[in-house]
Amino acid sequence: MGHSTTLGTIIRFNSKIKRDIITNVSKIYTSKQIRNINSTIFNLHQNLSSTESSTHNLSSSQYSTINEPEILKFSQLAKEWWSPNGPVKLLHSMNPLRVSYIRQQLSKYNKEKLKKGQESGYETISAYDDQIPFKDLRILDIGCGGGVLSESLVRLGASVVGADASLENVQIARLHARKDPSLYSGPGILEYECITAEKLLEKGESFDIVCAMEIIEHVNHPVEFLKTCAGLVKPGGHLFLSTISRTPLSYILTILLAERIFRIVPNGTHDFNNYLRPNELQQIIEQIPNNNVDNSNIDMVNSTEKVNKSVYKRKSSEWGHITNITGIGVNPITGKWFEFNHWVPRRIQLDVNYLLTAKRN
Amino acid sequence: MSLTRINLFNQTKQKFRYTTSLLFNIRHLATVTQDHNIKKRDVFNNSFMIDKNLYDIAIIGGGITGNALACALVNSQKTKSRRIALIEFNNMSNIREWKPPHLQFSNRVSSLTPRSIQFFKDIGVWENINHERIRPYKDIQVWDGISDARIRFNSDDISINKNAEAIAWIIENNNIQHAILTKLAQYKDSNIDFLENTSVKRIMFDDVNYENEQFDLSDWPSLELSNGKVLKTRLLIGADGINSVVRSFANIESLGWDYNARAVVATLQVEPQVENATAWQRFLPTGPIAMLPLNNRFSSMVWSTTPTLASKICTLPSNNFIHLVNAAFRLRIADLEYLYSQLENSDIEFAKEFEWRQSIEKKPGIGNEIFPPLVLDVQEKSRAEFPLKMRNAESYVKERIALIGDAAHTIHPLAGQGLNQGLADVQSLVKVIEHGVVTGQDLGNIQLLKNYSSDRYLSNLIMLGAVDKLHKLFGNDFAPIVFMRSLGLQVINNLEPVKSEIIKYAMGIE
Repeated sequence: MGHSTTLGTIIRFNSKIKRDIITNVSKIYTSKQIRNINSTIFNLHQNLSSTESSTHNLSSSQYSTINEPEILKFSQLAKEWWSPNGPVKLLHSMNPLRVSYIRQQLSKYNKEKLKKGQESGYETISAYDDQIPFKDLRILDIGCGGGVLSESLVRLGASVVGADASLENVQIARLHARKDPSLYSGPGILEYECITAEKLLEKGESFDIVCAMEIIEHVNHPVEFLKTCAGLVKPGGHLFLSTISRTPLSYILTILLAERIFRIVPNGTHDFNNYLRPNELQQIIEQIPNNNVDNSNIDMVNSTEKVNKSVYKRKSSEWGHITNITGIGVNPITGKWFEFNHWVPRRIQLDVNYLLTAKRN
Repeated sequence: MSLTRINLFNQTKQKFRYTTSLLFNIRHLATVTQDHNIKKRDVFNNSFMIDKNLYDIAIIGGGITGNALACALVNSQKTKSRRIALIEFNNMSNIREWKPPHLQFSNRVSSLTPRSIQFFKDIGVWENINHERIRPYKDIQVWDGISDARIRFNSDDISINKNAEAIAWIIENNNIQHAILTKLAQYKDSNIDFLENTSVKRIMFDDVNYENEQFDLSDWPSLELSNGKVLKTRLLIGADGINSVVRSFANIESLGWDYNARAVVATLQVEPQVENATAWQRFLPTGPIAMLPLNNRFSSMVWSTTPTLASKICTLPSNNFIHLVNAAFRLRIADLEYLYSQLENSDIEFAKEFEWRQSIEKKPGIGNEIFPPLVLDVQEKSRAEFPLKMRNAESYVKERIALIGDAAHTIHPLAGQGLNQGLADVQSLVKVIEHGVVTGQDLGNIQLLKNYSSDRYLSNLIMLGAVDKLHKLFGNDFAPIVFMRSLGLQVINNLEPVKSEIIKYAMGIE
């Protein structure tokens, strides 16, 4: 009984996050416009040229007119975005859990590797106590928003590229990063870029880890988007995702209750058809062929990976496989996010929010 | 292409320090973003933080809780590389070189619960304690001054885990402080700056413009110190006692009241005991008087009473004082009140008064085992008095600020819980900071710090409330209330499971 109550709140809260992610700059654009932008941005394979022009227009119009009031406006937006009681407060409270999850998954992987005595590029991910477990890892935080995940990863030693298609988000993230000198004290490196995943792939970028958190459900062509993200992962690297499942319960809570009845989020924030169930997501990822990576990408991989190149070629028919799916929820009283206990039925665990790890061959 | 250049920077950045670039100056964002170029970046290392007097954690107040916090943070693998400042008004060299005279004890003692002891063991402080000067007690006797109803707790009777060989330990505060400072000194290359002999003149959010240095640290608290330095800190911790300046800077109100009572403390020489291992407490209508064992010949006393009586008790000639203390544990309230009225009468001999009054009162069959050892002498200059208060801050945390120990809450000493609560705060806060480090959070962020307050606030409040109620309940001499509380004591005394739960709670065993 406790679960349904908890889940109810989870979804209500969660839908709020979704809204905020898309519209944390909604002061400037109506949500409809933003949806348009989103669709253009992420729908690459079909409309590459139009995407380019739209992103380009967006950036140039913003930047050419930048001035003092603009700075003030961004500071204000940044303040709001990062406020612990602000519009994306649930994203902030969820962040520690996401980081723990990534650490946990990587250290588990590393332990297995060490046990088997295999060579890997991840020896640096050592004990959980290590203060910089992500040292020497290049991580992409796609859809970085105000940078809440990116900053955490940098503090743990990673070289992070925080990418967001919204210029405002990138500016918010940059402004906020100035508040912490430790983001620049190394070994972690922080970069923000206003760029899409597709553009990054086009430029031949690749990463040890790609994080696409709370973003797939806002993308109009999730399959294409996932393929792009997958293509950005180096051979042997990891893809981390978090999203909402498509279940009757999540429909009732996120669409019916949150949007239509209680109006906690604006009508139309969520598109139920964009939600993906864990098994669907798994299918999509495990059916991605490995051929969307051309040779130029492999050349860029550093020497460690070159050693593994033969391994990579052997398994090159498939991109990779899912190594973990974990259901998460938020306690409505304490506002803390948690991973479900193992005794909770799997079906219920994965009914709403879940985290997923995929590993590239 | 350009992004891969980061890798090159990554490899060489340890070796070179680039000249300051204005990457994060927003005026330049336009160019940066438009051509997606990664600009030459300034790589900072810890020397930047050191140059600018920037700290991750600044602890105000080097009392036991403040020092224990610093020690626990340096001890933890997860937090040891954080840059910590500890600011203490006093000169600590006396305590650092603490060499206590034999058979003399400080009047400032604390009762440490097994939970607190375990914490000190965990952070490596316990091994530096002078074990000759601590006394575990297994037995507590508490009785009602009016009705003589009595409750007795013994750790042997109670089914608790076998690790707890005592209910609590009586220890001099200096002994704890010395052990912590010794432990801190053992960390050779720790990142902690111990600024003693230093006071905080002002705490503020300053407008020092770090913009040219790329940073905006306007929401980091600045501390102006008496040595002229100005520090900035990511997280400011108030361990500065009941009149906390950190708390007033944070604009956090402190709720509670002053008891119309003061506590008199003293170090007593008592009749030599085979095993002085019982804590005694008698509830008088004016407040409880307690005797706590220090060793087989010495005990420590805390007597909470009315302010007028307290000052008289403090100045009474020692010879009279010891008999008054004996009387306070053994005589009827009416006899005691007579003695109170004679405190300024120099003609009366307290020794004689006590002897004959006790001889009438003594009932056959009742031995000395229900009373604490007789007091023979009081250590010179060991008598002191202090006001008694009950306080709880309306909140323990704010953005970039956390309060611990007496800065957060102050309790009546009758149950010996004050320091133990403070140490529980420290344990909780260290866990929270560790969690923050592990998950890559900004250690000053309120979302993180709230974990500390949600962990400690309610449990401190319950303890404060319970002790306050006890004080009020026993401060009453209205007959029906005396009857009910005496009945209650006797009933509880015969209900082992209830007694067991009470004592576990007092011992900090959840």
